[in-house]
Formats: sequence, C-alpha cells, structure tokens
Amino acid sequence: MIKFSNFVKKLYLILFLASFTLVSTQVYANQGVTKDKIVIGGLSPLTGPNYIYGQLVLNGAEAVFKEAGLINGRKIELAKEDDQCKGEAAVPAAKKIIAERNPFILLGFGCSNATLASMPTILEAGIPSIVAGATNDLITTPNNGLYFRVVMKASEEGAMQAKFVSTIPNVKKVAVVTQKDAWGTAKWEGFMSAAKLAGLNVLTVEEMTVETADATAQALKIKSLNPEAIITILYPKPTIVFLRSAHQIGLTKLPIIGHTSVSDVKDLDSKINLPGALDNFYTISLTSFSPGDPEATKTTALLKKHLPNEELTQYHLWGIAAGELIVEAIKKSGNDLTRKKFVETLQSMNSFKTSVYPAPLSFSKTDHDGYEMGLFTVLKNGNVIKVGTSFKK
Amino acid sequence: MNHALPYSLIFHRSIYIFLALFAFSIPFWANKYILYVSTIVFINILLAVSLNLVMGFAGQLSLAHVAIYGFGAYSTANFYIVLKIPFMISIFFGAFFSAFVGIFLGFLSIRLKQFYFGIATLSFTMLSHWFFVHGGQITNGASGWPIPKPDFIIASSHNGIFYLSLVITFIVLWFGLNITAGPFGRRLGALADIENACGNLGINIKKLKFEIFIISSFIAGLAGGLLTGVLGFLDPETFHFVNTIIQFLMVVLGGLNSIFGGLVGAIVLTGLWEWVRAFEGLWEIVLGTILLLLMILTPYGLYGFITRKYPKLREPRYALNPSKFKSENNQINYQKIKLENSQNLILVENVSKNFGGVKAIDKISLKIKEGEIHGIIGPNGSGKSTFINILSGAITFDDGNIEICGKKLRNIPSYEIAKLGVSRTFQNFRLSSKLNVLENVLLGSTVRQKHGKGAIIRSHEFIKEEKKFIEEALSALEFVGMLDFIYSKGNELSGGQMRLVEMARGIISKPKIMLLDEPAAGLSIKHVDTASKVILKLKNELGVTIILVEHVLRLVMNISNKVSVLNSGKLIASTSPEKVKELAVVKEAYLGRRKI
Amino acid sequence: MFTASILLINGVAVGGLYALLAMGLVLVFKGSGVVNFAHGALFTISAYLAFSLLKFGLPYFLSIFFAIILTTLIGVIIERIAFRPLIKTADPLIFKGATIACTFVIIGLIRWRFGGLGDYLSLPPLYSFEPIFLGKFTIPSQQLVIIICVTLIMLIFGAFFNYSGIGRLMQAVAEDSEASKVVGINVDRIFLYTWGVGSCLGAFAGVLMAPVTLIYPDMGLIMLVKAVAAAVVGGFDRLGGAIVGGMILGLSEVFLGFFLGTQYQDVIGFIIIIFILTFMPRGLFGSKNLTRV
Repeated sequence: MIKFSNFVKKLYLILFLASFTLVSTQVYANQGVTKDKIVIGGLSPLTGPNYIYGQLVLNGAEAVFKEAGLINGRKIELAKEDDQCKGEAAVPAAKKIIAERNPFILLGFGCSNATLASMPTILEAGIPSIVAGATNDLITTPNNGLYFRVVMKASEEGAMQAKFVSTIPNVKKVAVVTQKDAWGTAKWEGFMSAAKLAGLNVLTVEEMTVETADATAQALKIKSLNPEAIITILYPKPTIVFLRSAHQIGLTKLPIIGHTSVSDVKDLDSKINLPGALDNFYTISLTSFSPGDPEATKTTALLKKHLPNEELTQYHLWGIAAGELIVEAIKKSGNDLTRKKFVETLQSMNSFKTSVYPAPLSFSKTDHDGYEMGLFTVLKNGNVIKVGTSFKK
Repeated sequence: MNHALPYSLIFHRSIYIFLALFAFSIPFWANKYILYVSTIVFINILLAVSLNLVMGFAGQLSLAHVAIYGFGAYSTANFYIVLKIPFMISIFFGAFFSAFVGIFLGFLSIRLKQFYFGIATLSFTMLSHWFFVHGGQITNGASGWPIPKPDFIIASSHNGIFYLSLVITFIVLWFGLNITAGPFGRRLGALADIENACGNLGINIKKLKFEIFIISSFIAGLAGGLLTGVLGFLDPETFHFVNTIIQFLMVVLGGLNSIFGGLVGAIVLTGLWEWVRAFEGLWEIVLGTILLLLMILTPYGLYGFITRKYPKLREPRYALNPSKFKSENNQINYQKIKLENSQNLILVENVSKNFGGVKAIDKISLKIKEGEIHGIIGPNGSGKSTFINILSGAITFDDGNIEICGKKLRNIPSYEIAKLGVSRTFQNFRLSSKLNVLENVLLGSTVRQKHGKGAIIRSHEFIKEEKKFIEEALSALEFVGMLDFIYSKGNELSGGQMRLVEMARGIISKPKIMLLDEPAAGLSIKHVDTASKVILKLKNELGVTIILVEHVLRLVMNISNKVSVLNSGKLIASTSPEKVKELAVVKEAYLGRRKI
Repeated sequence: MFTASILLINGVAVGGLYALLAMGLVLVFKGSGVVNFAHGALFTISAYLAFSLLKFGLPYFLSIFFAIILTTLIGVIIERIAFRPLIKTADPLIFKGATIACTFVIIGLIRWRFGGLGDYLSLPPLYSFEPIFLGKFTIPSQQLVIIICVTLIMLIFGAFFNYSGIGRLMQAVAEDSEASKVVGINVDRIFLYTWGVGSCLGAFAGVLMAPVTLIYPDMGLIMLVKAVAAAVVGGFDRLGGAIVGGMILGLSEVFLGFFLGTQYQDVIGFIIIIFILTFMPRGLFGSKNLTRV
C-alpha cells in the first residue's frame, strides 16, 4: 500500500504546474506573418569563436531590415537563436525557434555542421532558409527546394583557387595549408578535385587548427619541398600565424593564395605587423569592396545608423547582401505573403543586384546557389587591387 | 539516541513513480522542442550518473567520459548504418564497445594516482577527439555524419526515441540505486577515501576499478547511442573536451556521491542551458554566473542542499532500513578454530625485508598461538610497523617463510590474506569519510559476502544476507560502545571513537586474527583504557588471536600474554611481559647504555 | 642546420610561453593546494586590457604594465570573493567547477564587450626592431623578445621565491600550511600573495603571447590545457618542472610536428603526457608526496 503524504502531493502539483511554463504560449499567425509583422528567424552562431559567421552577418542583415522599414505594410522582426556552430546546439535552436516563433523564413546558417544537423528539422517544418555563410555543398546540392545560398559553396571556392593558380605563369607545383575542421575540409576537398582537373601538382597538404600557436613546422615542411605557390585554407587568425612563420623563412616571396575567410586584406595587414609579408598574398573576396575602402562609405553609414556599436567587417557585408535579397523577395511576393510564394519569387530572381557583390545573385528552380562571381584581390601600396579575371561559375 | 534516519524506501519509490508518470506524459502535451530537450535530459542523466559513479562514488577524477560517449555514438552509428543492424541492438553493441574502451581507463586508474590519472584521461579525450576528426571512413571526420532517424514500429521517430531514452534511463537509475545502496557502493566509498586500506578489508582494488569503469563506460556508451538517434548528426565537436567540462559541471552541481544528485544536476543544467537562450549573445555570462552562485551557495551540490533541508528525500543507502533492527537480535557467535596438529596460528621463520639497502626486518622468527594476545614493542624505527604490514600483506617480504592458519604466505595480495581471516586496524585511522559509521563497519563484511551480486536485482538471498550483516554490525558497534554514532560520517569522530569503530569493523569480518597497529595512538588516557577493555573482550568473548604493536607500554604489558621486542629490525626478546620488563637488552634498546 | 635552428628558436619561444603559464598554475597549486582553472581567463584578460589601454592612447610600456597590474588585482579579487569560501569547505572538485564557471563568465563578458570589433584583435609586438639576420634566416623580433622576457621573468621570479622573505614564507606555506599556522605565519595573507604572483605570471604570459597568437576571447582555453600539460609533464609540484615541461611541450610540438606530420601537432602534447605517465606515473620530477594517501 502506498501512502501519499502531503509533501508528495505538493511535489506533484508543483511539477504539474511547472510543466505549463514549458508549453509554448506564443502562437504566431500563419507562417510567421501577421498583417503588420514578418518574423524572420536568425539561426546562426551568436557566440563562440565562429560568431563572426553568425552574429556579425545577422547584424548586417538587420541594418538592411531596419532601413527597409515597412514592406507592403509589414515590418520585419529578426528573432535570433544561437546554434553555437555545433550540431548539438543547432537542433534544439531550430526546434525552439520553430515551435515558439514559427518564423516566416530562416536566415543565417554560418556553419556547415550546424546547418546540416538542423536541416531535417527545418525541412520537416517547411521553412525556406537563406544560407549566408555555410559552404558545404550538401546544403543545396542536391536541391531540397527550400534552402537558398548567397555565398559560394565549397566546391566552387576550391575550384576558384585552382583556376586562379593555373593562370599564374610557371606555377605547377603547389603546397596546401588547411584546417581540417568541417569548414576547411569542405573547401580542401573542393580544391583538390579542381586542382586535379587543372593539372596542378599538389606536393603536400599541411594542417593547422584555429588555435595553432606556431606554424614553424608547417612552413619548414613546405619550404623543404620547393613549391611554386602556396594555397591557404585558413581562418584569418591561423593565416596570420602561418604567414609569420612563412615570412621568417622567406616563403612570402611565393604567391600565396588565401580564402574568402580573409577577404579583408587591409584588416589582415593591420594585424600582421610584418611589412612585406602580404606582398604576394592573393585572396578571394566575395564582395566588390572591403570595409576600409572609399566605396564602403555608404554601407558604413548604414550600419552606424542602425547599429551604432558595430564596426563594419566583411561579414556584415555578406549579411547586407542577404538582407537586400530578402527585402526584395518579400516586396515582390506582394501582399498575400506565403512561404510558397516567397520560394517561387526567389526562384524567379535570376539577376538581383546587391550593393556589395560584384555580380548579381541568380537563382532558378533548379539552381539555389545564387552567388555567381568572386574576385581575387591583393594589397599593393596599401590599396586593394583586383587581380586577373573574375571567376564566374 | 539517533537510530532512526528519516527516510523510507516506499516514500522514495513513490517519488520515483511520479517522476516516471510525469515523464511518460510529456509527448502528449509538449511541443517538438520540449520533447527534444526532454530526450536530451535523459541522455544527460545517463552521462551524469555514469560520471558520478566514477568521480563521486569512487573518487576517480576521470575526464574521459566525453570520449567514451563519443565512442558509443560512433560505434552505434557504424553498427546501425554500415552493418545495418537494427537500431536498438546497435545501441547495446555500441555500449559494449564503450565498456571495452573503459577497460583501458580502468587500467590507467590502476597505474596512475588521482591527479595524474585526471590528466591522463584528459589526454585520452584530446586524442580521441583527434581520432574522431581524422577517422576517415569510420567517423566521417570533421564534416559530420548525418544519421537517418530510426523508425520505431509503435511510435513516430521523435516519440520513439524519447520513450526508448526514458526506459533506458529509468532502468539505469534503478540499477545505479541498487548497486550503490549496498556492498558495491560501500566498496566504492572505501576506494575513494581509504584506498590503501582496501586490500586489508578484502577488497580487490584492481577488480573494483575495472568494474566501475566498465559499468560507467557502458552507461556512457548507451548515452552515445541514444544521441545518434535523437540528434541525427554526429559531429566530432560534440565530443570535444569542453563538453567534459559540461558533464563535470552537471555532476558537481547536482551533488557528488549520489545517483539522484546526478539526476538533479542533469535536469537543472540542461534546463538552464536551454533557458539562457533567451539572453542571446549574453548566455555565457548569465549561465556562468548562475552556476558560480549555485556552487558557492551549495557546496554539496543541489541535491545535497535539498536533502539537508528535507532529509526524507535522501536516497536510500542501504538495502534495508537499519532503524528497524535491534542489536540484540543477533549475538556475535564465534566458533573456536580447530586446527589439526598445530597450535600455532601464525608461523614466522627467518623473515627479512630490505628497503633499498636498509634492513627493516632482519631474520625474525616468531610463533603465535591461537587465542594469544601477542604484543610487539620496540623503539622507533625498529620495524614494528613493517612487520605488521608484512603480515597483513601491505608489503612483501624478501626472505623467509610465513604461514597463517597453515597457509604459506608468499607474496599473496592483501585481500587474499584478509580472506584467510586476518583483519587489522591502522595507525592513522582508516575510516572512509564518504561513508557513515554503520557503512564503515559494514565494510568488514566484505570478506564474507556471498550474494553481493544479488544487489542488482535485490534478490532474496542478498536481502537476507544484508539483514544479517546489518544486525551483526549493530551488535559489533554495541560491543565497542559506539552504537549512538551509527549515522555520523566516518571522519566526524574523535580519534578514540574512530579506533573503536575500526575494531567493530574488524569484528564483523569474523577474523581469526586481528592485527592492531598502535591502537592507542592518538588516544586520550580514558580512551586507551576503553581500547584495552575492548581488546580483552575480543580475546575472551570472541576467541580472536591478537597481535598488538604498541608504544604505550602500560597497555601492552597489562593485556598481553606474550611480548616480543624488536630493535633495528631484529628480534631481541620474546617472552612474558614480566620477564621482558627485566631484560637488560630491552632496557638498553629503549634507553641506550647510559646509567639511569 | 638551418631547419633545426629555426625549429629550435621557435620551439623555445613557444615553450617559454607554455612554461610561464604553467608556472603560474603550479605556483597556485603549491601555494594553496588547488588548481585554478580560471588561470586561462586571466591570461585572456591581460591581453585584452593591454589592447584597450593601447587603443585608449597610453604608451606601449604603460599599457602592458597596467594590464599586468590590473589582471593581478582581478585575479586576487576573484580569489577572495569567489574561491576563498569554497577552498575551505568544499570538495576540491566543486572548487574546480567554480573556477570553470568563472571562466565562462569572463569569456562571455569579453566577447560581449569586444566582440563587435571583430573576431580577433592584434597587439603590436614589444619591440619592432628589424629582424635579426643570422645566415640565411631571420629571427623575428617578437620571438627573441619572448625568449628574453621569459628568461628574465623566470630569473627574477626564482630569485624572489628563493631569496626574499615573502618568497620563503610562500614556500613554507606551500610545504605545510598547518605547520606554518602553528609558527605564526599569516597563512591567509600568504595565500593572497601566492595568488597574486600566480595571476601576475599568467598576465605576463598573456601580454607576451598576444602579439604572436593574436587576441581572441577563447585564447585562454586551449592555452590552459597546454599549460596543464606542461605542468604535468614536469611533475605538477615543482616550479622548475613547469619550466622543463613547457620547453618539452613547445619543442616537441614544433619538432615532431615537422618530422611526423603537421596533422599531429596539436595532439603531440597529449601523446607525450600519456607516454611519460605510462613510464613515470608522477611526471618527470614529481615528488612522492604529491597525493596524500
């Protein structure tokens, strides 16, 4: 015989009542759209070492949303959720924002792993998603109908690096320094397959992590093999660490080809504190200008107006492009705003000019990778110069 | 008089049932997010329990759990995806694989002590993470491995994995409670605090360490397997050492040394983790501050804090409620040993022991008769403690021969010697601070335990045996006069009291021989007298043969039948106490050659 | 040989930094018997402080100087407020948990305050002189500066610890705090100094390391792990061991990274630990009384 004492009864009552706090109390109207508000979910790393691909990108988009004001009578509200660039945090983040805010669309997706992890949840809920950071090919290829990407995907970036190298005269032997995390692996694989096609001879692949403090071993290894160019697939921090070690032993005389992660060469130069180290450093820029350039004045002002504490970085620029695309797509979709309409509108936009990208974004029913053209840049006498041909897909 | 500890097994079971019902009801009213988080709570409970077993109960600082978790997850994925084994079976295979890896951890813990073990496990975690990243085909590397959600015949994928996690968690909790509230839990308490004394209590430390790591790794492996099903994506970053910190925080927050502590810690931490999402970019600050405050305010963990206020919620530490037993139910009965053709219980022949060139023991020969109280005295450094340590198996001897109860002792481990019927007390009080007095005394029953494994399912034989042991323990405590203190923690007593408890512990192992290493050390005069009386009782009423190493000559001379004197490792006299007092050589040994 | 000498210099520089951090850890451990996992956060704070002060307009040397002083103060304050109550009452594991929670808070605060400025910041090197040319290669100024600074700091610290009054008191308390109390040493005050000096060492390491590895909120975490590794290799309770451990770790990472493959570079430290602990369960110089039985 089990006796239920008063205490136990109280306990159960508390548990029962507490459970109600967990149940979602906010039920938004159909598909996150009301007559005066559109809820856009920002799902991206807001904290952690990769917050640049999330928080900063979303901030750029937010500035655009605020500037747009009312679109067909509706204001955009950006609700952010932190996926911490990790699969295990991305899934509950996605489930939470969907269950509690029912966003019209989702934006962000700075990290590939987090994006892939949360994909089944988001596809199940049928929410269109704009990817402004993650590069893993699987996110849009094969095409799942709902995900649209506004940055280059890994295979394309790698191919771009290989194509660029093949335009440098007398360069056949290359060495690669890469991160072997999710970000790096995707691009490295893209590069390797393109390198094969371009007939390049990859002498070695050296590894670094984001936290590697010293790249002496990597630089020496590479030097001992006498490459004619070096490819780096690294975040800005390890790029600097590597370049320092490379400069120490004279490797910086060789062409070094960097990556979208370091598209702001001026910023790199200000932080590396080594004159001459960047003389032959070419990098891919997704945007047609860098934050410090004169062409950036308007954008800088825009950001300052709506987010006075932010300083413009290349990541904000990606967010601005994404924001502009979304605002335009919403406008074009008209008053009767549904997700299906939004997807159809996007798919019809085959030449949307943003204020930051060198080429217009282009989508179609079968192609959800909108980004078409990247530039190579180099720093000469303190100015960022575009180099060689731009690369179309 | 504080015999009644306010807890009740039935009360606890009711809480358990309520929690189960509540958990069962979740899929009916919760949204997908809550359902997901609840499933993660179960996985975290498993991880917390697994880590608590090793860290809280057994006191081993293991930082490798996240690696084991990872091995469980990746191996389950391989069984499920590559070998196409049904999901539920894959989870168990994955858990077995993890248990297998746990053997390596057990080996490390035997080899390394405490802090270094912690660092070694940290290194193991880093290396495992490196393996997960560079594992190629086996782990799919840094890019992650999407796992299709498993299908369950009777439920949708989300609900199915929830219920599976629920069932597994409850079984593990039940199992954990059963094994820790009994002899296994007590052995862990001994391991955590008095590892050096374990052998003498009949505990095989190596076996125990392997056991705890295998069990704990199995549970962590289960958690990993479940993660594969609920997250649907395997990413090496999930098994980065930073997550070891999260698991560690769960255990510390909830409370070490209790199964429900792990439960509470897991629920609170997982809940907090999700709750701070509301603070967006500031969540780290908020979470860190809350955790810091909680830890400062509740140094014994949340569960420890709650149970201090509401002792009824304390989880059961015995299979039965000791307050239900009276000590007079069971008189301690000893049978005098019948040895054929031999009156010598202990035979020591020309035994020597060297410590790096110093002869600690130099060709000692002794015979100790059954029923004797044999004192051993000598100045500092004469080898008394070494001698006792050799007899109890704590250290080995180099030459000579020792026989106890007719069995030759040639470097057999101390737990085997304990099983022969040799019990000992220690100079510096070896009671575990993790256990209370009653549990410490119950440790003495380890050598006689026959149905310990039955604790897992609370078998009839086990319950019967526990009942007997508890009654005997209470009787033993009454015998030494410490019955009023049974619920005090092992280290909350005075020196004299601890010594008496040690003796009680010795008594219930039903020893033939007791080795008392300086029983009067650190005792006040009053307690020395009490100890004397108890020792005499041991011999007269229980027929125990006693070897007594002592400095307090008054004690030794008064109660010994025979006294041996050591000096510089040599035996210089062995005769009756009266004669020993007169011997010049003894006086010289103590006082030197000066005239007094 | 060209290669070997480059590896050597860079290895020594990195090793020196690990050693400095490890020394701070070991000092606090010897002094108060606990491992301060918030040490990495202090290291981070000092780097950010130096950056802020520099940005504010202070001359380089003053920025560094004040950054170190402030960090030392912060370290001591944290100890008084958060840790003092715990060290006395609770299980050492709880204490470790608290230091970890503290680290969380600090990193979060830093990210909140500085995050908008970009993911990493840079600190100019101490001396921007032309790199020294020896034969075919250059020694960048910062590496040289690091080696010199680390050596100086260790010498000064060694002298302080062994020959000054306070240093001796710290040693006494580290050896046996109970006995120290008995002979009238104000153990509490000495704990304070110990923490202060430990924090100071960590702050130095942060300021020296910042120009090389750049400043980012999570820099403390991995550095802490490396520092712990270095301390363990040396046998956690000897300061000299920390130095040796740091050197071994730094040199191994660089040399073995070169010869075995750069993919192993970041786990070399841990392989070494497991290797050493397998054969020498107490580290290279660890004393037998480290773990009281």
